[in-house]
Amino acid sequence: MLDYMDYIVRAFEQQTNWYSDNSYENITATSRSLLNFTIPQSIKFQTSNKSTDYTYSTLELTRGKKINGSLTYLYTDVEGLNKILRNSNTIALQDAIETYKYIQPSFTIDNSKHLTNSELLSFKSNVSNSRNTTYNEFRPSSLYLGRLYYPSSVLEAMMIKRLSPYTQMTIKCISSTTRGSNLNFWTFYWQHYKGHNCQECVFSSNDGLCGYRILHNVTTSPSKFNSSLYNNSSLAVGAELWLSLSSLNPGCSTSLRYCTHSAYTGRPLTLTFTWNPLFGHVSSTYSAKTTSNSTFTTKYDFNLYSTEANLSFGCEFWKSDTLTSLSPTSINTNTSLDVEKAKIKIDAQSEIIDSDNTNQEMFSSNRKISTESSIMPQNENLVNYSNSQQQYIKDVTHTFESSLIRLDKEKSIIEDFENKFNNKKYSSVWKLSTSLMDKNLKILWEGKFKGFLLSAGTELLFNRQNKGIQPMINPATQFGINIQYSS
Amino acid sequence: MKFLASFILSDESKERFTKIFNLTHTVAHYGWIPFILYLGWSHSSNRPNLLNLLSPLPN
Repeated sequence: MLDYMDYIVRAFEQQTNWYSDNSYENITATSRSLLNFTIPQSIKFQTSNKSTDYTYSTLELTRGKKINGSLTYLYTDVEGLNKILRNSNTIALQDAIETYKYIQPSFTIDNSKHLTNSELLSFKSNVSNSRNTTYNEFRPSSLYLGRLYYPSSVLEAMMIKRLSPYTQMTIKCISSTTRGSNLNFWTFYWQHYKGHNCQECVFSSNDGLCGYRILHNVTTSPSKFNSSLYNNSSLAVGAELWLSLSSLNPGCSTSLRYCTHSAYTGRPLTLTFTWNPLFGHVSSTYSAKTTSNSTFTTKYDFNLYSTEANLSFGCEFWKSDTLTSLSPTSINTNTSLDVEKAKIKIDAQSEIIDSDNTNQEMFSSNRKISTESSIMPQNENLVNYSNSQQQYIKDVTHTFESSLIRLDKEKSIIEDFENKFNNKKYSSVWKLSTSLMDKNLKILWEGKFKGFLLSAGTELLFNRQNKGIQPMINPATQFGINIQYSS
Repeated sequence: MKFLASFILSDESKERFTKIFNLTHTVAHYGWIPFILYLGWSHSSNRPNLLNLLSPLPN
């Protein structure tokens, strides 16, 4: 389950149009959330409050062997955060839990950044089903977070600054004033996302660790291959390089991610492939959302040097209590997606009209028609144009009518599937994960109960005993429960 | 070349630097959260009282 402060940081990124899913760090986020989910190890209670429109605070108490706690304060100057933030009573469960990531293709993100304000305004007014629109002029914004742990007095500090529409800077620190403690580190991140590349430079004072990460989106336009007209699949390739300045130890890895949808059912699937040349480690994952209530993933690890292999499976099952739908203002629902999907359609029709460069007026008229989500131009819209222009539009529309209808159908199937998940009201989710090498079964239940967010789970180990295979609870993790409340 | 010797710090100077560094670290450590609270207080139009700012419990 997401920590309340992580939830606010995500909302901050959404509000400032920072798309963190396209960074190399999160390239395997889907399989990670389904296989390596965190199981609570003790009883933890967390209460959060919004003290002002810009300040948020959290108190956390953990009952392990002894009582620990932390106090967190967050300040952000970004406007409109209150509109998308929800408390634990009204939040959609799918927003509070790490789950399948719907990857938005980079060409749709780039288009939104390169649009002029007038174009954005016209989209905002024309696209009827756009949710809370976040397309505004860029304003530098920042987020400050401080967390003080009890009884150790260790401070965790974080500062995020959006320097430009394409740049974000993050500084994270851990500080301890205990005499003789070496727990004083800081890490600096500089992220740049422009065009189809997301680049990131990292420096950590711990061992003088320097790093460079890059993710390149190969698909740069909504191409039309595999007989699919509406295509929002994305292929991304990335790499990371690390070097410790104090010990001169290097590190590197390279990854590939392909996300697509079934054209007939609209179900998304994600494939990733990761290779670490230094350690000879190869890892591949396949994740698929089989229905709106279930997701399955599998991961195969193989080491080229030691020839050790491991196969892991993970799944999650969502349970909805009622058939009522949520209000379409939840945080994870990509606000830009609808506008961008309309843009894809406009692009497709623009290509048709672009063949006649001289007729700019006609281009704008057809564009206007397409944003109104109608494939066939309405007769009343054509009244303002001359007979030749009207005939031109009718000819073009007639020629491409079947293609456009098919495009619209494929698009609506994919959109419907995604909206079905985003707008459903879920009450709980079961997460299961197993690994053949570790012979374990991780079980996690997360859900909502009377305005509280609950999370409980354990890990079972299957060791071969005298009487056969006997399951036992992992002594390292035991059984834990997290209780979250926010107002 | 005598002036180069002045770049080598004496033990007393090193100790002074360490003290200044430790003091700065302690101020930043304990001042970070009050700084966040001050930013939130100064940015709010209604200027909430200190108890409201500090309390993580629901109002």
